[in-house]
Amino acid sequence: MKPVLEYSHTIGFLSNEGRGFNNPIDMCVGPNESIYILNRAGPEVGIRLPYKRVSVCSSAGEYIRQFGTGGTQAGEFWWPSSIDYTTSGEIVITDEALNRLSFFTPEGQFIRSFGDSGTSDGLLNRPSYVKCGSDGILYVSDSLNHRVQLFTLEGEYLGSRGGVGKLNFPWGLDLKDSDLFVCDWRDDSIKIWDTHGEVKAILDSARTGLYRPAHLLATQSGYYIVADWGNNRVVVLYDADPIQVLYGEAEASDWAKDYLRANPQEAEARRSANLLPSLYGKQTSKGEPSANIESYFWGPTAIASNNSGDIFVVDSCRHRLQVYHEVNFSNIGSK
Amino acid sequence: MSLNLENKRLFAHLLRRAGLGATRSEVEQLCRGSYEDAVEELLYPKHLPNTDDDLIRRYHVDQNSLMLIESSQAHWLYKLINTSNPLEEKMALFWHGLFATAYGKLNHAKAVVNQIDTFRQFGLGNLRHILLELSRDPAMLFWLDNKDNKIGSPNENYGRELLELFSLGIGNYTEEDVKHCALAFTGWSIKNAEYMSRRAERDSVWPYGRLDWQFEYVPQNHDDGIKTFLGKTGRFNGDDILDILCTSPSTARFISKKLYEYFVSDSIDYSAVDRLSQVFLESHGDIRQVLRALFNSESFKCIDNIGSKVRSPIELAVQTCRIAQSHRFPDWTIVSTAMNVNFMGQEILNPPTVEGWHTGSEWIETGSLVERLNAATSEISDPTHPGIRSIIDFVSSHGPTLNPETLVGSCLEAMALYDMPRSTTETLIKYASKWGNLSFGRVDSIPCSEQRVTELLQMIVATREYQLA
Repeated sequence: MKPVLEYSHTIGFLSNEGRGFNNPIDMCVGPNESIYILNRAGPEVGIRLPYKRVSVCSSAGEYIRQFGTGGTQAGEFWWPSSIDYTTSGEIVITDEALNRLSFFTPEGQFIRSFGDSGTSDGLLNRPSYVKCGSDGILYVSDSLNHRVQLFTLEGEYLGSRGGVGKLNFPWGLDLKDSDLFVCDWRDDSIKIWDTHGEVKAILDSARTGLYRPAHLLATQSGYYIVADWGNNRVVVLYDADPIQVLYGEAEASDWAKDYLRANPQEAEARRSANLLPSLYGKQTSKGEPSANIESYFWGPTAIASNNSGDIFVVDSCRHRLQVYHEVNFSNIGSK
Repeated sequence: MSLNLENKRLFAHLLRRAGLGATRSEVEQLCRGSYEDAVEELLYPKHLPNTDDDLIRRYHVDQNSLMLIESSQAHWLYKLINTSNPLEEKMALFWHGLFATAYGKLNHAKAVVNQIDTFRQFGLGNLRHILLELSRDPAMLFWLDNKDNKIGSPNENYGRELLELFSLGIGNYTEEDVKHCALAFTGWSIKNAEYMSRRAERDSVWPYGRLDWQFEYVPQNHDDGIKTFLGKTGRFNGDDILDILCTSPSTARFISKKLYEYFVSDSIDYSAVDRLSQVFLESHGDIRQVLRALFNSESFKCIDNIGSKVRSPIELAVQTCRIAQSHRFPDWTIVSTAMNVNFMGQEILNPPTVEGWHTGSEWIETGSLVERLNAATSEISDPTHPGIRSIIDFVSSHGPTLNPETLVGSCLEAMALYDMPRSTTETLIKYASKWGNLSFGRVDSIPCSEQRVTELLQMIVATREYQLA
């Protein structure tokens, strides 16, 4: 089968503030095709709290601005985990530590928040992911309550999917044609609910080969592009069968090239280095190749697309987005 | 003292010294078998899969790549608290103190974490294997400059420390031995040494974070000439040097003494060390065999050596968290607990020098003592921790009304503190007497009584004896 995705370019650079990312965990496409990258950063020590922020760029990777900071006050983040652009034109961000959803204008001004800790209906325990449906319903992955909860944009509880024994630390979500796709992270599966709240299909790991999937994008062309977090790769599924596996091909982004131009001695040493070294022993065990080889995905946490056919992979431990393009692109939905 | 209490005291001693602290349930479980069985259980842990690793990496995104020192310290602290193989972790701490390699020079936290993984994997095995892994360990190659040790321009730093601090001990080799040892390790380097060195010097994390280091043997940089080392002559490479070192009685004595100091007492009993050295030589450097002899020795079980060693800051923190059963699931507070260990004077993964930490009574000084007390009392006073809840339940099970003596006795038992001196116990009783009898029989008095229990726990972890193991 022909490949579905081909590598295009890389956006990003490690930075603690301004142009660059720091452990990006999720992204969304906002107004004017600008992209909003949510930086989880960490650990939670005072000096590093400002690293937690939202970086805003153009789809081509031009830096626009940042907003937000680490903290526990209104409008601040502690464990920011997911971001989406709502039908009402707001940016919504979940926080797994503060158990709340915060809303901002696209320019970054804090508007309001809702959410409280607990296990009852409408309460949250580590909300890992948020997806806003075209009907304005928020789907929230409530990971330690092992369920997905539905809210209005104002925070009114509407219902839930899953629960203990039905979902196991759910993470990423997607919506397509009224179907809800859930990455059932610790079950290594993808579960699909129909509009009536019934489980319609389960894509299990025996068939998909997924290990701790973080997120997926269900494309209009019928593919599921999965951030196979535990395997440090991206898998393209068709009818639950893997048809393309990507390990990452990142090159120096424009921002990285600027850095290397400004630091010629380091750049010279880098040119002489073998950045694809052969690995042995422990370095070949799960996760370790990504620590050794810079171009590989390392903990991919989310996938997003825009109306130009770009597929963005949030490469969390490498502080960047690896951008792919759908080979036979025809206009697909975007997050 | 009853046989049962004596047994509990001995098992608690074993768990504190060979492990990472004792809890009442652990002691009572071990008491079902013999002491020798308990030693074997520690020496041959069942390797259960680490069920939390994926959760740690998911929720602590920064601990997935371990780029930063604070993330890496918190990562190890979590493992120390939650391990089901305490001796394995304790030995990783031992080798970390002996083969001290510090983040401060490397600017690469994961490289030190990888070294700790190596100690975890091989630390109970054969010394020759441990030293071979150490000699190939990228963090060590960087730390003691062996990456720059080349034919024609040898760097003796690793060769010297290998003899002085890691095996023979000072006085058991000559300067010529150092030179020839260093020549034998020429060419033992890391891949992309120039690029990695430049990044480390500049503390560069750009463009995309750290890159792991890999060992590389560069034959053209190796001096293949004849060497004379400890009276033996040959065309030695590094592994030949390790063969010679690990059969030396000086190495046997050096390692045995270090193990004795770490596990038994700061005051060395040289006849006991000699017996351990003999086991070392007979077993060809098998650390597990030496430890079996050590834990079963009379020296280890001697009453004078029980509760006589000052806990290191990391041991103090881990013991307290294990009693409180805090940090049993990944959450952000682990970072501040790890920072507290730094404030107490022990930055794990970042020892102060190649000699590691000065231990024993040197852990305690005015500033660090305040930090130790504050950290321990803070951890032990939170009744939402399952371990504290369990202590409260255990204490309240002693009756609807507890007098101060029963209260203190049950709290000490709940914390597996079976050997508290009478004078300290009396001081605690005097402290508890100001509350009168505690009542758990009336609903309205329970919150107050529970509060008193946590206050008493705070007082117990503030005693001199709690600072010791």
